Amino acid sequence: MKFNFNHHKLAYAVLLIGIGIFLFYFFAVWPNRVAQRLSSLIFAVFYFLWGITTHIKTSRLNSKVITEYFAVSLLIGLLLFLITI
Amino acid sequence: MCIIETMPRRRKRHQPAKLGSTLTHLFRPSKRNYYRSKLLHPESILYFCLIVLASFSIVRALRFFPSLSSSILGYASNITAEDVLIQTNQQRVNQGLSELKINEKLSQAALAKGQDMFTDQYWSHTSPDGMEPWSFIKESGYVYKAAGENLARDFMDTTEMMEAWMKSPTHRANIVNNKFEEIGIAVINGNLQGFETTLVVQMFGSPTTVANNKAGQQQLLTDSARQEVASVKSATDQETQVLAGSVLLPNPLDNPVLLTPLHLTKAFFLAVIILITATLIYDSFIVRNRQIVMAFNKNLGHLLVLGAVTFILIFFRSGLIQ
Repeated sequence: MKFNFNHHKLAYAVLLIGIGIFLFYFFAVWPNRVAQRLSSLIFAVFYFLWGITTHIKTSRLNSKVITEYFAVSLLIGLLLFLITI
Repeated sequence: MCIIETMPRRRKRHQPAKLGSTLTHLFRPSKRNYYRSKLLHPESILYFCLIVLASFSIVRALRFFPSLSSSILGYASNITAEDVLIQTNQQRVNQGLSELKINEKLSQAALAKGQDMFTDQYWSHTSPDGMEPWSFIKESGYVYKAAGENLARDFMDTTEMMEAWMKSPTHRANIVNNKFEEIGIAVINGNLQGFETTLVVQMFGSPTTVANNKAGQQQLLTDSARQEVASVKSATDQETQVLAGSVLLPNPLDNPVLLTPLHLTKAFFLAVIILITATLIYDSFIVRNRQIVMAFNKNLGHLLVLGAVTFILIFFRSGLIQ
């Protein structure tokens, strides 16, 4: 994984920054549940787009990759959405 | 005859192997699952989504089993009216404003509002039959120039609740409004929408000079606060007795709940995340050891976002304000 990480520094840096911003915003807007839900939705979409973009760059994008990122994004979006209800 | 005898024996002998094979298929990357743990396939993740939805629905459905939900689930809090008054005034003093004085009529209005929410099972400033907060204030006999209302539920302690109110611009505007001179506070335990909880109602007001008796306000604040807090508590006891007689609602203080609905939901969700995370780590370990060529490792990205979700689930706080 370390090898892989070094070859995709920029991609992971973008992901880490995205996660950092999301975590900060999610707790900063507490107790506004609507804003938390909205930020969760944006984060899930961000992760899906991030996955697609990085795979386009490595020229390994296929339908399985798209469905996997869609499924994981859906799962994290669902977990975060339901916890804020 | 010979076939009948041998078939059960063969099935018994192959059962552990079948279980092992299934587990291997689920967790271990191999040719059979296209070198990716079956649990990490998109269709499996979608099944996890269904499990998450089902577990959430189960927790929500517990409200329809009052005997179970009232003895296990609920929000136990240590909020007191006295703490709410002290911390509200502390916030006002920090802003250079005068302290609010407890008013018995406003406390009665706050208590009536809380009781109404438990009776009609709603969580809003306006009741289902369109009754506004001002109606409760007027019914208590309090005549005001300006009035306001803050509501809170499901909080564990007063500090957290005050923090939530102060972070909301509209609630904060009520607490640090220089027009308000008096306050009524009610802290009421009861069953709201299927779960035991504590409701906190703050009613703010500035009285018209003619209608309201100023004599009570001449007292020292501490004495006044104590008297009024005692008044709120006795009124709450009355409410509990009345409710207990009609719909048998247990008092959460006498019958402490084991865990909150939020804790139960978190436990289900974390179990799903732990299973997926463990599979991702194992999958990465096997792929690395077997030196399977991958252009881009999806597992690390998945692990990072699931780590973020785990962090949120662990530190997410209960409590709603209105």
